Amino acid sequence: MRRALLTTLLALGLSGPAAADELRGPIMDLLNAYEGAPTTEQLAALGDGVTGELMAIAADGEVASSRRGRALSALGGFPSDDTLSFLSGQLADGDASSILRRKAAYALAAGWGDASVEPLAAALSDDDVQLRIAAAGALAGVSGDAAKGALSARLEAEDSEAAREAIEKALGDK
Amino acid sequence: MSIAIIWALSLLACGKLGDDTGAPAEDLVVENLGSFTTADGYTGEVTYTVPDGAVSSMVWCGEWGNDMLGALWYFDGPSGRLYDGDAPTSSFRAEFLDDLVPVVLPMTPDVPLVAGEHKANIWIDSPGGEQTVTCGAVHRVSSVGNSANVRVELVFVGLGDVDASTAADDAELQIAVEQLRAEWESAGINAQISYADFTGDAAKYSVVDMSDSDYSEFNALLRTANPTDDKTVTFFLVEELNYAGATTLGLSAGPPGAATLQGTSKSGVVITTVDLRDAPEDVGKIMAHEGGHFLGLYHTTEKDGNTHDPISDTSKCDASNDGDGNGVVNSSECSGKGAENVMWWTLTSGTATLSSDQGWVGRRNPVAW
Repeated sequence: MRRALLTTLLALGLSGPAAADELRGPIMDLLNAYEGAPTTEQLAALGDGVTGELMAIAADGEVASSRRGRALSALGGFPSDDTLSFLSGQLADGDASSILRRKAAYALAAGWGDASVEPLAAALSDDDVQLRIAAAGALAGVSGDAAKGALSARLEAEDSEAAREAIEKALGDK
Repeated sequence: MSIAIIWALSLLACGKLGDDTGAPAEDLVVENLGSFTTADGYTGEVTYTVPDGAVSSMVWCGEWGNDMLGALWYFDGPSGRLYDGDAPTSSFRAEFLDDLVPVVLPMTPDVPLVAGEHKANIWIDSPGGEQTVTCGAVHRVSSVGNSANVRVELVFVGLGDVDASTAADDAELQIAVEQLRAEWESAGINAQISYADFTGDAAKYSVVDMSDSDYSEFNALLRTANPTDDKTVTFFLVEELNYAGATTLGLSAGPPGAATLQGTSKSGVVITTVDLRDAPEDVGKIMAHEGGHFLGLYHTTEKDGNTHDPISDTSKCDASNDGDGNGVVNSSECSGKGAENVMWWTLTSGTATLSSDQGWVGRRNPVAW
């Protein structure tokens, strides 16, 4: 998985060594914050190449999972075709760790709104109950009938009490 | 603060918060400060007495629920006003918090605790109508030297690969525990570790979901804190704290936490442990940092470089150090200016330390012994 992601990044030409040298430190400092995750404004202020470096960090198995997840979350603030492809791939990857898939779900909802409903609806049926809860939480922030429909459709089939509660809460927010 | 003032409608009979706070430890003096019925927007005053020989006092008011904010806004001591939220000083921090607000004094050696009668102002935004608010104080009467013990109970919340029965032999967990111990020991605070398993809905709480407007899961988890000894800080070890879709590495009640008060929304800290296998030292650092918040310590410098802790011997890094202009003072910009402290706002490499004055504050906390 890690190799595939790195190959994708190289193919996209998104993360040159110079950019990595300059940006990795300040970006990691923001991702390492104990309490608050970085804002899009704080990251964007670091200059060109932030998006590519965030993807490189998210794909870097040497980086701690929580910080890789934060990099994925941050990508929701930089919507583009490249980041959409990257995040969609993370969410759909059943071999990826649960936290990375969850963060991809939230980032897709934050960055693409209605356009994220289809992959999030699929995640509502995943075997991983925490991913299902995250998908419900992500859909709670997406306006429109499609998100509501996806949540309602899953509610009847959901057998986890915690996931049902998350879906009901998401529907209640609409 | 300009708020419409409506005084308490009644002073009711008072009692301890909840039924599970247990008997106070021998060096604690517990004061019940009464219950008040609030109207829309409320401010009132409570009087408490700091006993002779007290080294710390925790004053608290609660519980008004997850949807309202309140603050202890000014404090008057025997010699006059110690702190005024309308004219804040660098030696005191007042925070607006949901549900219950604890304040632990002293916050700094610069303003030591003074025995005698004190008054505190409580302000609560209660647009929903009447609420009953109970206030209390816990004073620690003891001598404090250059070392103190703090009991830490690690509660495993559905982590799957480690629980109370395996914790002592779990190599990565012990690395994390040793990191916590090492960082606290820099200030003479000895962490006494015990283990317990969460008995509630682990599927729900192994990932704690929060947002700007909804701390209900976090609060509900902390309300389950029920250690055998009230002089214990409960650390809930979860897979992840999810804040509005992004991971929070850890979060303390308050700060500060409700020292010695169990079963409240401010009765512990929550730690993200998803990195336990890959970066156990980081998990230990998160525990040391969030535990520091619980004991009454603030970030030496906040991320923007504009706000600092009320402790004079910690290094500060103001906004003028923001060399890359992104509105954040980062660790490389603040090397030697606080970035090596346990209470720096972001994880750094190596073993962080606490200052002498931070230790002075932490060792006096009512939960210490």
